[in-house]
Amino acid sequence: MSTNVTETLQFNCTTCPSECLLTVEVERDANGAVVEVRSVTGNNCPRGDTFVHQELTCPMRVLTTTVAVSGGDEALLPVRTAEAIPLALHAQAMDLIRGPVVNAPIRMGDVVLEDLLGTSIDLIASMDIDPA
Amino acid sequence: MATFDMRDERAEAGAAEVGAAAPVQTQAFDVVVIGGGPAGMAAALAAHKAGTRVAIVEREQHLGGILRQCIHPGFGLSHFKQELTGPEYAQRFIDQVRATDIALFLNSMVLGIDSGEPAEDTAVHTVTLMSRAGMLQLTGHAVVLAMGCRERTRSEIKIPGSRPAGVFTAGLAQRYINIENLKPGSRAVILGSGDIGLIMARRCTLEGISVEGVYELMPYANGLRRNVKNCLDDFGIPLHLSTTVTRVIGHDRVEAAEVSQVDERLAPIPGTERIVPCDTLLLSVGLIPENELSVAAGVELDPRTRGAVVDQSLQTGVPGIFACGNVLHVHDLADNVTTESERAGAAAAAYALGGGAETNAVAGTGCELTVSPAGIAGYALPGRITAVAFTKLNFRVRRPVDAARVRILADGEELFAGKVRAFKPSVMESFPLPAKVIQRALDLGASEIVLSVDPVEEA
Repeated sequence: MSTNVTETLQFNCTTCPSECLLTVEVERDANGAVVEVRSVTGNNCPRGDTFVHQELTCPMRVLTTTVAVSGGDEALLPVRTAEAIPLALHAQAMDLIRGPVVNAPIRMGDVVLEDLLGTSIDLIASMDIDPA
Repeated sequence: MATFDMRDERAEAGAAEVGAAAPVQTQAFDVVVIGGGPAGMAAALAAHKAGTRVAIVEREQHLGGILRQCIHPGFGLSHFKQELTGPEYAQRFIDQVRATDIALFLNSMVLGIDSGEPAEDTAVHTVTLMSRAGMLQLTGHAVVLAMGCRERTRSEIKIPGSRPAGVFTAGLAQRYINIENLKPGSRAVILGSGDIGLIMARRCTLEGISVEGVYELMPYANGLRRNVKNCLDDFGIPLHLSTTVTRVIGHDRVEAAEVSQVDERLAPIPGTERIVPCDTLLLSVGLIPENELSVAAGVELDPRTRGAVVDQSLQTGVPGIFACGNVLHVHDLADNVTTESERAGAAAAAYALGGGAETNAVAGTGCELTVSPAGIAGYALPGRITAVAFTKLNFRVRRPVDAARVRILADGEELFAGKVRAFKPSVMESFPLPAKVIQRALDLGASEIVLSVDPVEEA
C-alpha cells in the first residue's frame, strides 16, 4: 500500500539570470519527504535539473549580513558565506554572526568565522575596510 | 590611482571678492566621469584603457556607490560568471581603478557642468566641484554622466494620512541597516515589490525586524523572480498583489498602515480597508534617474526614461557629454550597467582623443534617425541613431505578457521581427538592430525607427 502523493510544483530556477520557470512533478511519502522527482520541464539547461533536486531536498542559499567593525572607516563589514549553506541554518547562523567584532584593516575574502555551524563553509569579508 | 588633497584656498577668496573672478584651481583631463558607482568606475576604466587621462568625481568618501549597501548576492552572474555580493562586485572594480592612475576626487560634490560653444572643435567641458577643501574645476574634452538614480518618496505617490516618523524609502532603510548600523524599526510593512523592497523584506527578517507583508499595487510582482522566491517565499512573507497603502496612521511614530485592494484601474475599492499594525513603512515604489546636473548642462531628457536622450554611442544631445547606468535608464542588473558604461567610457575616450572629429564624420553619413517605442514598449534606447552600424536597442514593456513579438518599423513597413515570447516589466530587454535594417530605414527615406512590442493572440 502506498500513501505516496505526487504533486506538481512551479518555481523559478535561480541559477542564472534567465530564471527559467520550472514545472516539477514530485512524489512525496506520507511524511512529505521527497521520494522521487518524476519530471522537470521548463529548464533551458541541465543546471535546472540539479537545482530542482537540491531545492526539494535541502535548499541552499548564500547568507549575507554584516559584522561590526572596530577602528575602520566604515561601521560595518559586509560578510557572506563563501558558498551556499542550508537555508534551514540561516536563523541560527545570524545569532552566531551577531557577536564578533572585527578589527580594520580587512581585505575582501578574509575569513571572519571558520567552518560556520559545522558546514565546513567559512564566513568571509565581502569588501575591504581601511583603518579610520 | 592618485587621490588629490585639495589645498584650502578659501582664505584667499575673501568676502570682498564675491562676484569677482575668484581664482579657482583647475586641473585638465581628457575624460571627467561624474559618479564613482558601478557605472562611473566601468566608464572610467574603459576610457583609461583607451589611453585617456581620466578623473572620477564621487560625492561619498568611498567608491562603489549604492553597491556598498547591496550586501546580498545576485551580482556578477553575467560579467564575472559567478554570483557575487554587491560589495564584492564593487570591490573588484575599486581594485581595478586603484591599479590605474585614474584621478579620484572623493567627498566631492559636482555643482555644475559648463560646456564650451558647440561649434568650437576644441570645446572643453568644465566640471565645478566642491569638497571640504573648497572649490575646484576639472576640464575634460568629454564628460560621462554616471550619477545613478534615487528613490521615489511618499510625496511622489501621495499616500494620505498623518506624517509620523517611521516612513522610509527602502534604500534608505537599507543604508541604515547595512552601512550605518541603525535599526529603522521593529515591525515593518513594505509597499512595492520592486527588487529593493523584496531584498529589504529578507534583510529586515534576518535582523529580527518582523515584516508584516509586502503590498503591491499592480496585479504582479515588480521585482526579479529570484527575489520573490529567495526573499519572500523562503521566509513565508506574504505578497499581497493589487493592494496598496491607503493611509498612514500614527502621530509621533507610525502605528499602523491602512491597506486596500485596488480595482483594474488601480483605484482603491471602498470596504476592503484593513488596518495593519506596524511602526515602520518601507517604500519601494520606483527609481528616478538623478539628472539635475544633466538638465543644467543643457542635456535633453526623454520623458519616458527620465534619463538623457542619447545616440548609439551613448552621447547626449550636448556634444562630448555621455551618459550611462541608472542615470540614463533604470537597470535591474549591475552587470548590464557595467556593459553599458564600458561602451560610454570607450566612446567618451574616442571623442576626447578625436577632438570630436568622430561625431563630424558620422554627421557626414547623413544618418539621423529617431527611435520611438510603440505597442507595450515603455521606452526605447538609444533615442537617436546617427550611424549605420549594429545597434542594441534597450526597452522595457509596460505590462507582463505571455506572448509578444518585437517589431522594428519604419514608414509603416516592418523591417525586422523577433521571436514570440514572454515579456515582463521587471526585465530590461535588449534587441539587436543590424546595420542593414538601419540602412533599409534610410533607403525608405524614414526619419524614425519604431520599436513596437505587440502582444500576440495565442493560437
